Amino acid sequence: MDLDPRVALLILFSCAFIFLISSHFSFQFFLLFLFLSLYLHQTSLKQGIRIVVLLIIPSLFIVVLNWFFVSKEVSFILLMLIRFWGLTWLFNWFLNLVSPMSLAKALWSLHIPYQIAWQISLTYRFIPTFQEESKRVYQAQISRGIPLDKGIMQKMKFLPSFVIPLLILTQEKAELFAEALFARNWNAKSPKTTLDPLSMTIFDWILAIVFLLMITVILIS
Amino acid sequence: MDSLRFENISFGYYPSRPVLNDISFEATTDDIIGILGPNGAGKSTLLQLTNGLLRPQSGQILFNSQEIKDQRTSDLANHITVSFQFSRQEFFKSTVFDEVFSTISRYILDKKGAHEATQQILETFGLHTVQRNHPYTLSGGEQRRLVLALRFSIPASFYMFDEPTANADYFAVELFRQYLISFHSLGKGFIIASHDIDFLLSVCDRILVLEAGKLTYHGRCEDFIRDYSHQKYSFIELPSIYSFIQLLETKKQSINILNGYLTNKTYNTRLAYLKQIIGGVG
Repeated sequence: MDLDPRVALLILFSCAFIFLISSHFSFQFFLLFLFLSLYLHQTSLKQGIRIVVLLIIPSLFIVVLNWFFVSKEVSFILLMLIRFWGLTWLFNWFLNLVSPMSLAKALWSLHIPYQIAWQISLTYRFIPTFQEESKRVYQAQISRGIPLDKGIMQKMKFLPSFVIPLLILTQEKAELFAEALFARNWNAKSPKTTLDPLSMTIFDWILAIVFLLMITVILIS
Repeated sequence: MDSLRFENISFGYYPSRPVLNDISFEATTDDIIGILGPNGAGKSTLLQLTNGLLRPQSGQILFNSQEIKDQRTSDLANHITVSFQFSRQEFFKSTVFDEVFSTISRYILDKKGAHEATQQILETFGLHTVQRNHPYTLSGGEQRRLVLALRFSIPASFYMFDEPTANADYFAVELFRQYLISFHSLGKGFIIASHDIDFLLSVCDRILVLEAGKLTYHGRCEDFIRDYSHQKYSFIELPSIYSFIQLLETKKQSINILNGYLTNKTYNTRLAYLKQIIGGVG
């Protein structure tokens, strides 16, 4: 099943909005359930669980802070946790679902200028490259004997040795990319067509209407 | 004399697709070992296993008959340092001098001594003229030399290089060869993974051939050239000395020329030797 990227954007923003605004526990629970079924359609249960496991420490932090400083209500703390996990799942789902190119297309079809749409999609296309680059810098530094793999204090002490090369290399990569685009005579302002234009299926329409209705209900109540 | 022993190493990034399969060999500080193999044979993976960036799935790696499994990479780097193919991502100081000094001062605690050692190493690698420059403003060849200077400023017993001669001009390769031989004479062991057969044959004592994760050849350099006529590797180019010998053989010259060539270790004596032979033929 391929969702239309515009519907995916709508779901992303409406869900994020509802998670942040609404304080009805049952409603959020329902939304989480609905969203999770969508999520599982795209990614695996294993990945979903892995994300919750990764979030254990921040979750504990949220629980402790709320318990001591905000409220001792269990439902309230649960609401906070649902909000946190929901938002994380949401963005993970979106990043897995929508490719940078189709995001650019979606933004472009929503009458956002092509340069801006292209920039946004590029930012998000370079996340994996950045990850790979940081892994390389890390490996190069520890095999040079810099103790970045020896606990949090050493890591903080030698943080510049990791951050500075990363910044410089990223900058260089961006310049290289720009040069490559110029070399191919790429022009953001020239008129453009797409090979396969976006089209909405019935399923896309149903999802869009459901999520629009939900936003309306929340705003009225 | 330090030793590094690989015992039945197997490794795969995914369980279904092993990259290395049952690799066993021993390296000592007496040897310079060259690893040959096609792309994707597992050469880089083998080097990464050696300094603990990756851990073997089965088998063990012993450094001085002590397993390295529990040691961190940054600790191991004091004994076994690996230099990667793309290695300009490690400069973080504002001058070349500080860059080398930051490494050396970890081993020489006396500040004045470290200063002198840094000066010395910069001169050895021909970087003293650019020592006040920013590392990222250097040319490609100078950056490569700086990486070598950083590696050689660690008093390790094994140095490993992944494609040290890739994209390097003749001058840089020749310099690297000289550093290698002079550091080897100080009792350091080397393992070099490369596609440059001429370079490997000119410096190495032993050659390993990795093919699809298996060790298919392990022997002395001289034997490798001799066996080469029987055992053709499609991924290795013909060593230029080998084609030279073939040329000589057609002129009824004996194979002893090859042995004579290999007994001369430095570049200049080899050149003199070859000139002498060519003069004899002509």
